Amino acid sequence: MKSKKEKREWIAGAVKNVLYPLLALAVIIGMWAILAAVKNKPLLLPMPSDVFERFFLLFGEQNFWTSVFSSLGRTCLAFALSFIPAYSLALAAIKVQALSKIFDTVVAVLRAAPTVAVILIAYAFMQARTMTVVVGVLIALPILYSAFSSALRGVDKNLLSMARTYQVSRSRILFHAYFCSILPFMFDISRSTISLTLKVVIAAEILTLVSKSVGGAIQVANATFEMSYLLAWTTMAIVLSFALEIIVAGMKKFFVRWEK
Amino acid sequence: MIVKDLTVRYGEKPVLLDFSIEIEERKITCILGPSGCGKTTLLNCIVGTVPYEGRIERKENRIGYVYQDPTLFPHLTVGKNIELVLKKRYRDKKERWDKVDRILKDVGLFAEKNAYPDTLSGGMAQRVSLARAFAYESDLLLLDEPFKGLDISLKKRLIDVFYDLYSKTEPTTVFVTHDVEEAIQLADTIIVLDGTGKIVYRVSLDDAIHSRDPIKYAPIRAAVYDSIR
Repeated sequence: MKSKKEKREWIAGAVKNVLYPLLALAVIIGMWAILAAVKNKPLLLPMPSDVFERFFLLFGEQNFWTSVFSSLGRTCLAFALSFIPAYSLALAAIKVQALSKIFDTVVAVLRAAPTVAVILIAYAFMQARTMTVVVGVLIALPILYSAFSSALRGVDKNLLSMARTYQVSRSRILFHAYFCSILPFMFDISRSTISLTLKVVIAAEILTLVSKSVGGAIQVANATFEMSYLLAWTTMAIVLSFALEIIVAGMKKFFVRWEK
Repeated sequence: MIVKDLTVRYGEKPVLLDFSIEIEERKITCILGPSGCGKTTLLNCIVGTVPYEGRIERKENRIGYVYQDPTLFPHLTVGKNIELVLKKRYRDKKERWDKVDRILKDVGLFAEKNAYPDTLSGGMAQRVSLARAFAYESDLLLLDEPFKGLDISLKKRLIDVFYDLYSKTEPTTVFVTHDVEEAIQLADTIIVLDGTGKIVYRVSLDDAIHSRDPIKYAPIRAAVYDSIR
């Protein structure tokens, strides 16, 4: 039996986590509907209902799942290829100051480079499918590196000193102090970075016309001037982005059990 | 343990300058002094986490350190936090966990063995930190204001827990505090430092710690307070 206080907390949690986001979505869709009604040009701006109808029809399309999973696959691959080097480089950078200076400069350059320019330059050197992954890495890696660097620099000095004083082995210090203690933060930054990686991968797919991909489908919709189809795929990209964030949040809940 | 001509600088400013002190073996030496006089720096020099000039001679190899904050790994349970520091000494897992169970019973935290540090109160977490230091079988124990910020009853309970554990093995103990009452309650020797890290008063207390008469120690208390001023 839940106590009155627990019930109140549950209701407050539900309002905060479900009702407010739904309200925000309702406002966005409402504004879209008003704008579409005022403009009254369904070819340019279709009504949300038309787009949602088209959205559900996407599931029955040939190549739909292939497109979704190939874009998701490339996103996950790009993220994984960024995550491990970003963590390793950040770890090396906090141990060797000279490396930190070198990596920080490279990362600053990568971060400042315009995404579209990176995509176009990369496209000159490699095949479109490979390029989308590489571009994803080039965008995600600097973000993850900077975040991991500051998290690793923030590891509790007393915790490290304690572990050394008690002669805890280096490998255990590395695992417990430099990995586990920043794990909650790693999940938090991964949550936002993986959806950004998806966006970049889709952008690269659009620019380089990768067939059987979310970006490729968006480009086809754009070329055939089917606005409701274009918006349906855009909605799909947003749903996929949310899904990735929810998966990462679920992983955090599963792995970071010690947090209240 | 002998500390001879110890100098520690943070930048240009010396925190400790030609500081010398002798710590009696198997006794509790309490170092009293205002904030910033170099008490914690001295402990950090002893464990070797701060570079220094001078000499520190000690026979003790196994150092236990109890910080002002409990300094527990948040992702490890109470039991695993203690077990972690025993891995090198006790290769056998069962032997290690028996040791963990025994010490947790000693500090009255056996029921919290599988709890995460976040779910413990400040006093409980500090008891885990003390338990860890004693489970490690330290022959030199460093305590950096471990009772700071606790309310009076909790502090008294924790001091009792500390003394019970201490009495079993009597490791050489250096206890840093700025609380005169704590020092009089626990120390065999009290050393008072001034704001610049110079020793201004030293006194040995002969009675058994648990039988200390507050009235008898009133003059020493007064002298300690005087030296701080």
